[in-house]
Amino acid sequence: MSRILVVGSGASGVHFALTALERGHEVTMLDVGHQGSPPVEPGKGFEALKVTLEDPVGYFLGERGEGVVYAAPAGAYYGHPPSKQYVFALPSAFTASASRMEPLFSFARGGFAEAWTAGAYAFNAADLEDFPIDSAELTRCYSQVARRIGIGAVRDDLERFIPFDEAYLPPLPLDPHSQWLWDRYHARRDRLHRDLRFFLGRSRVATLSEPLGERPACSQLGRCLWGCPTGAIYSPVATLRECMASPRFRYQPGILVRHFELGPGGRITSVVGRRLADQSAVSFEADQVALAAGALASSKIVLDSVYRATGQVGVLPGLMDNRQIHVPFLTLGMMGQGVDMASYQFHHLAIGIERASPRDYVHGQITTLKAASIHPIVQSLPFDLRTSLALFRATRAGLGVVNLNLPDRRRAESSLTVRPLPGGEETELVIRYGDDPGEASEIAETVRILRRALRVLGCLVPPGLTRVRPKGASVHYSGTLPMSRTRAAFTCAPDGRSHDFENLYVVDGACFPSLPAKNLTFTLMANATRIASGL
Amino acid sequence: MNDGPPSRDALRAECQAFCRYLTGVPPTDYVLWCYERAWVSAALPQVTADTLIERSLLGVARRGRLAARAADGYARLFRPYSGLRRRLILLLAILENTPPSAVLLTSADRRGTGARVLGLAGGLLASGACLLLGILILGPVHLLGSLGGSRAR
Repeated sequence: MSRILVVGSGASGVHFALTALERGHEVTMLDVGHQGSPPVEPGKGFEALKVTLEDPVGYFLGERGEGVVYAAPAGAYYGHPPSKQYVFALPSAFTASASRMEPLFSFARGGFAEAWTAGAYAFNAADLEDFPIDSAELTRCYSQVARRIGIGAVRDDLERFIPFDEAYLPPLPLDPHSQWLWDRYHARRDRLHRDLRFFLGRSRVATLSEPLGERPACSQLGRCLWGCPTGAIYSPVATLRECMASPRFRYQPGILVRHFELGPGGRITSVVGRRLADQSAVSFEADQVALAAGALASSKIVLDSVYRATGQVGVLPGLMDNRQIHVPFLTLGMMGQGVDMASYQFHHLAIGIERASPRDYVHGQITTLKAASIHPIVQSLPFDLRTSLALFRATRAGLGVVNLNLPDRRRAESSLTVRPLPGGEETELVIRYGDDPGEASEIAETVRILRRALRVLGCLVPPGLTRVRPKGASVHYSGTLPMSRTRAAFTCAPDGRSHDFENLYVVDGACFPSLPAKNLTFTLMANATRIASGL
Repeated sequence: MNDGPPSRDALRAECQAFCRYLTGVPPTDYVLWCYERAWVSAALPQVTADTLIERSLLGVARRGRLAARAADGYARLFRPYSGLRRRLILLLAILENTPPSAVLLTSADRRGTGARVLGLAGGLLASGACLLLGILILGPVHLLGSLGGSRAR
């Protein structure tokens, strides 16, 4: 039995911890652990809240209007609501600067997955080509995680790209608009496959269609974006609760881990952090340390540790993030129909676009517009708001958005380093994303294919509304401490063990050697489970 | 020189005018309270005297529904990040989250196809006319402000 310190309580950290506990180890989890408020009126639907809450505007927009989405050159069609602001809140002791990227950080209990849209897609052999691991072992871990968190899926055309698993649950019922698209796709699929290599299927989502443990099935309240009030959408906090049930688990919130103290041979002797309540230093000893603070924060801990031990400022090349593109569309056949706000708010359908190389596969998710904040959409239309509102209402039932993800590769131009701050004790994380010269044409080609596919499905893509989101928007950060069979500085072995520090395991996205287009969270959980299984 | 924060009455009058423009009906007390709260919490941007077009957009828009539509149409095309647009978007966000306007603004238009198309066509015509009005009123002011700014540089 080892004493293991896990840094971070996100998707990677909790699954690593639970697996380590199942294998008999003793686990202490260090975490900043910001938390939100308990859900208000958990039995009420989206529309009902507007009537029953004393201050609905305060709830939906925040008392300072922080949930209002104003026009911006690459503005989003939705924002993070006030109830989710805690997910992205920074501790004052953590500073970062970025160029050509707009990164987000999470120090929340549960990490970024407290605000995810539950897309859970297993990587296939092409996606894992650069991963120096036994894919059969990862497949076993996908199944294990699927049983823990509950993923709804069916066998469909996306199985070509996304391995199916018998552990999956039935999917959620489709909303009328998604059903319309599903039916139309099946009537025209041969043409879409042949001419465009376009495939459509059900989203694989970690949202329960039937109860699992203490979590109930989705009750279609339409409040997903504001935070599922029932727990039907998986959150790492659910797994953290499972960990807490073990007498060998200790959760230490309120601690920002800063660096390691190193002994001879690069062995970590202790993990040093700061207690946020009183800013006092605190130190923990352990046999093994697992970094699961997210690629950016984990990398900073490694860089800070090296800087403190040697005075050297390291550079970690290979930062990746999926480029995200929002493509709004209008399904003409749905116009004039009603919209049921009591509906699962996130995506029901996913798409895949096959490219010449399987590694260039493009993944997307289709969200039809049900319960939502409408002002970000209305203000983006090219008319005065009164006209835009009329146009919005006339087309409402047919509105949707495809959220495309492009793959990314490790490149030297995209890197992390630290900059010592005055006084020399503290550092700032410096993030540089180097533009990929071929990306613009890749985006244009992908959007062209999607437009044509949507046209075949009977949908229009209004001109001027497609948004290429800034790097950082997808929050799929990875690649800075990659797994490698070759021993090299700032890499880790296939079993997650650092090549630099003998008792350190890198278990979050930092250890990914490449980034496919699919949402990475499910693979984060499965890979962390795989690494913990090998301890 | 700065306009300074508006008086409570001025803010309420602005909310009244904008709400009538967006929904056709006056705001509830709760909407007025939310709009005032947004000012107090600095969600509403200050409009400074060195931006002539900003002051003009607001000044025109406060005059009534038609003027608000003209100013809004102009701002959407030529000043999309202006203070006027931000205030209108904020009010729209407030209205979509509170009854009774929430249903009015967020529900689908389920009239028959003919009625919907006719309604939209009429709306687009009215929008075009208001935009033209906005260009006639605000275009010269905008141009003047831009020229003044260039000379000052």
